[in-house]
Amino acid sequence: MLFIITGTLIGTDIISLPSKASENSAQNGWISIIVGAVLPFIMVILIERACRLYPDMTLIDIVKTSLGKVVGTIAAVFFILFASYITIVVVRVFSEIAKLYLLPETPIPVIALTEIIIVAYVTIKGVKTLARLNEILFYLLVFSILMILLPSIKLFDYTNILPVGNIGLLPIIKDGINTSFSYAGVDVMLVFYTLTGKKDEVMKAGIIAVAAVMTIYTLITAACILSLGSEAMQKIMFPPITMIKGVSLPVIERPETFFLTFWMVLTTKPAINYSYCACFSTARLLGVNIEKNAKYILIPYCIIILAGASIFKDIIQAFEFAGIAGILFFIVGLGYPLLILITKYLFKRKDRRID
Amino acid sequence: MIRKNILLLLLVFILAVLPGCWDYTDLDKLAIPIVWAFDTGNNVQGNQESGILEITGIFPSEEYIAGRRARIEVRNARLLGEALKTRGGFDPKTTAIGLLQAVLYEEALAKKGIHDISDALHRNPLVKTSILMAVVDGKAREVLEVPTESYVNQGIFLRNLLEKASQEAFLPVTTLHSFEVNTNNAGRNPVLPVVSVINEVDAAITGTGIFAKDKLIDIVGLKETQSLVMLRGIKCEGYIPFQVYKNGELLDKGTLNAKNSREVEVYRNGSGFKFVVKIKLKCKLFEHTSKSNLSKNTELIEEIEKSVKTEIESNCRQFIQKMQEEFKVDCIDITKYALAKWRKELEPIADNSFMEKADIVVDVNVVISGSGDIF
Repeated sequence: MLFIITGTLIGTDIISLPSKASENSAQNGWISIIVGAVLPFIMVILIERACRLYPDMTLIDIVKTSLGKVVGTIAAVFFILFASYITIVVVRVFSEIAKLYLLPETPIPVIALTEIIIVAYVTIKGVKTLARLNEILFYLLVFSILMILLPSIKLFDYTNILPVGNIGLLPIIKDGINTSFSYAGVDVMLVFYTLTGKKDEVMKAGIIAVAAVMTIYTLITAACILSLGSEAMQKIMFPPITMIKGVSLPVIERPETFFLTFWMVLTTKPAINYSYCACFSTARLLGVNIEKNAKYILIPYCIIILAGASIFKDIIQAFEFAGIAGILFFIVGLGYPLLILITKYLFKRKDRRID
Repeated sequence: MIRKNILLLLLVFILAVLPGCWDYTDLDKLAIPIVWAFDTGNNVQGNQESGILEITGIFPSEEYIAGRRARIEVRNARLLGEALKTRGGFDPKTTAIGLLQAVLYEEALAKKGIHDISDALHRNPLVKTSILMAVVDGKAREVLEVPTESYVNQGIFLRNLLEKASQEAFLPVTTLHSFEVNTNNAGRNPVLPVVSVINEVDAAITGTGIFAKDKLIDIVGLKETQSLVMLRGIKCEGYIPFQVYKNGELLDKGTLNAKNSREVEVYRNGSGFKFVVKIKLKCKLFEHTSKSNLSKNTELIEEIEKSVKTEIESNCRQFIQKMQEEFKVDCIDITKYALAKWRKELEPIADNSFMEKADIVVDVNVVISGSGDIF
């Protein structure tokens, strides 16, 4: 569960986060990352508590049980649409960045299609393959973070990050709210809780995952502030890549190309995990077995994702839609567990297993 | 079996597409500029006109052209993008700017500001921000036209010269990254090495360009460059000649091989600010004329250290005075230490007369840690 949550959290946002984090808080942007992690921690606790009430039921069954058949179905469909929307945004942003730095002539739908093929392949193989892939890619993530941080050390200027905290609390909180959108991914616990064998370790896994991601985000943001300065960073779209572009290593003249190659692999994880959530929930909603009917759900789903990812006009529009995804993440991450908890305790609904 | 074949087909598709079906180009279809020089260009009447750039690129070539293994191409355009556009009609090869190594700016052009050009380079995702930058004392194009015998072409020579400058002498090295960071953050200003053509047969770094953000305001020579580099804390390794006098008599003369570093402390002094710049020089004795055995004459080492310290402090004080009275910008990069303590208060004024009013004190510490193989 730890690797699945970490894999979902770290995706395309890692390279655009530093400039968002220091928009108002300037050199204290790294503090706003930590502040932004408060809400996801709360979400982990709420989701775990809510799912614990129905340990053997899927999210679809839980919402139908808690909210009734009609409202529950609407909530289920909303979650499926939300997961699909996140997948579309992730695929599109990934395609835009790959096109910008690596494949400028390749059309966006072609790049998106290659990612969707990978997503579809892993989804069709089932949750065990998905979990194993997330674990393997986690170690690749650690390596790629070190690859971006270590060579950049010679660009660091400690005066860029000082003084600490002089900007006041309000700008830090403002940026903290913006950065909390970057923790979108905690909500996959709603689906994967029932699939995990070690349910009593889910809370621990969730907390450690958010803490690990918070640490990674903070290190990257601090490194960008140290090397670029918070003012210069405001006009840079992807500060970590610009930072590593300023370094020339022996043999590896363009370290950013190496980093982006690894990053392209890493950004498939959120797409895979959300895609699995959407397909699994769809199967459950339709009352069919996901293992036997995966391709019937996956093929139309992939076509929808490809069409959705091709709609955006440009990268700026893609980022605008990514902002909306952040707001939806709050609605799902806080709304669903709260509704489940409230309906359980206030209205004392009896458990009804849906056949 | 059918499933495996489908999977195999998909894998082949991914492998074919991701390395770049659309982005595939043969190397011999690429024109790769390694150095670009920017000068004030000519209009269609042939008269120099500000607002027009003359962009000279040096492209490596397998064949010898006019005695060099490079092709030099000159374009006139209002902006860099326009120059690249006109290339399309002249050269069947695609311009690949991802391997650009250095850019040179004419002095007159740099005085008007080089933001437009550096912005175009910084904005392009294919251009690395570790490219080297320099100002040319005179026409930038002339530096590219100087022949070189030791290197494949002048572009490679310039790249190596600008990259290794700080490893052999007290000279600054400026990349696009450091230029953009210094231009876009409060209280900071970049400095660029100045390249000159010597006797039409050689190109060398002859000084440093002092910038107020993206505009060149002055050029200083090599002696002042040494002071600037030490005060600014640019880590270099170079040679410092010395002469030691006692009672009016020359006691010793020679050269130290030194590495410099710096620490800066800043204090509030009433309503003003006091900076203490501590320059540390870790030296090895490279040569000296005195025959005395240094292991038995440690006083001589102290005298050498004192002599070097006095001279460098004096040079640095003169430079600081010039900086505050003439340049009126912080070219030694010390405002950032005050901003690190009082950022909110100083940020609005960091670029406006802040450095002119500051009290700057220099303290040099010279340590001779070795004398080679003999005493």
